[in-house]
Amino acid sequence: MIVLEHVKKNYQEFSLDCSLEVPKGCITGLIGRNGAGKSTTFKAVLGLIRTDGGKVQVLGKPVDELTKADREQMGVVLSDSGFSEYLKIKDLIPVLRSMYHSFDEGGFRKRCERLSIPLDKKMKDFSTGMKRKLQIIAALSHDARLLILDEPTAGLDVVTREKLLDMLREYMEQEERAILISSHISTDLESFCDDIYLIDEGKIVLHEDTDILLSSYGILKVTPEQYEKLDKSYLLSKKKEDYGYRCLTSQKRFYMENFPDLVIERGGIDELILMREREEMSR
Amino acid sequence: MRALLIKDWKLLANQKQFFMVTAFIVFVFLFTSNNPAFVVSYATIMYTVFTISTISYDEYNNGMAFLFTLPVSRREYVAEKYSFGILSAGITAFVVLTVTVVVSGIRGDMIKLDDILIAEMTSIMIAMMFLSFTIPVQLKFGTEKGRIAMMAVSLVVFILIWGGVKTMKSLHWSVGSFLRKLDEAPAELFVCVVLAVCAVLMLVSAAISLRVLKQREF
Repeated sequence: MIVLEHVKKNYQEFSLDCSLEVPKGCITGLIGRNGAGKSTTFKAVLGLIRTDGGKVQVLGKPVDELTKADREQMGVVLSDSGFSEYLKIKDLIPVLRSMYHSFDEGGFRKRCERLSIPLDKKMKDFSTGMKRKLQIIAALSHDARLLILDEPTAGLDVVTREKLLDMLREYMEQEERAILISSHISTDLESFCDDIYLIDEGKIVLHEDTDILLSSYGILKVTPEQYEKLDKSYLLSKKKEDYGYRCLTSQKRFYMENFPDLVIERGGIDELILMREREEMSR
Repeated sequence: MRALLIKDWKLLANQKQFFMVTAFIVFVFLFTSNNPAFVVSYATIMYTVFTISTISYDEYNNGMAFLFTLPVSRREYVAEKYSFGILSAGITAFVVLTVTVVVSGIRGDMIKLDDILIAEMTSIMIAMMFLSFTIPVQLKFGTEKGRIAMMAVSLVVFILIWGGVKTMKSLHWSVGSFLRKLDEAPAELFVCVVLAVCAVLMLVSAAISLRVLKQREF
């Protein structure tokens, strides 16, 4: 559904060189620190910026060749943009109706009601959370094959987040669909994504299935003495701490079995981001 | 394009205050002055200029980025803005002209339809010229920088007109006699010339706008 091959974009103080793939039936997460290149990647996928090299393919076509019909197959949430805020939702409905052949007005209204989005209020008076909810509802309302969601859960409380993630899970029950999603809230992605890309300073530094990430990755907390004796074959990175070193491994079980005295914590997305200091990476 | 036209119409409908105040001024002038030509000109220019505001509303809070993730091409967006401007001018001209004729009839005023028509066409031309200059500038520089750019454009236009008049004088062509000839021309010819000038201006402007928008990143 999405293929990025060495997509390059150069700014004065930042360069993107990103490769990733979102296959059919897959929910792919893109994670990284602020300024790591997530939004630039999303903009490249959506054709909002001109790239300086590489290939961007969406729905099997170069992004600049996407037609209106192709765009109808896509639902989008952007972290820093949305519908014209001088409109009310009741104004937006006829716009969406004439924009999308498959617009499900009944479903759209029902979801707005379910998530307490007022139809008769200008969007500029909405909270960040309400704007986000509206974008997700709109993205789900026209039978899109591909959702591209940049920080869709930002600014939402835990209950609403869960409701929206349930809607997205329901969306994925149909075959031939896919989602590319980024989020600062790691638990959302851990429970939702099939695979995860970690981007840092414009480059993809890790790609892993979420199951493997959660089951095999771990954080070892070791003293300097323990570190000296440690088999370092499966360490991905280390960070100096007051007590010694904090090490990231993709083979948690190996260390649990061979070094039973070590303190080993679960490796999740947050830990990956925290540990991902590029200059300290061993690969 | 229909979806964009609906959007802009809804944006316009949400600016009730602007609508009402302009309509109120139009009615006050209609009933208190003996200058229906001014009334039609005022209303046509005011409502047509609203097209520029719709671009500002689209840009508010980086909204343009999201707009171009929807099934909306940049070409379609540009075509819609000019179409919306032409539609606004046409509808306003028709409505205000009708109201003016009706009100003048009620008041028993003798009106010269030719004069009003010429005033209406002139104001449509002014409105179209304004859109032709402002739409590409607005799309290139956005709302804030666009104001400064517009001042620069106005200065260039002023220098061009001033230079044109100077050139005419140096070639011993009289501006006054040119205007008198224009005034003496039959109304039909005047309307045709105005429409042709507007069409050429808008086509050139639309081509520039499309180029600007295609270059733009969000």
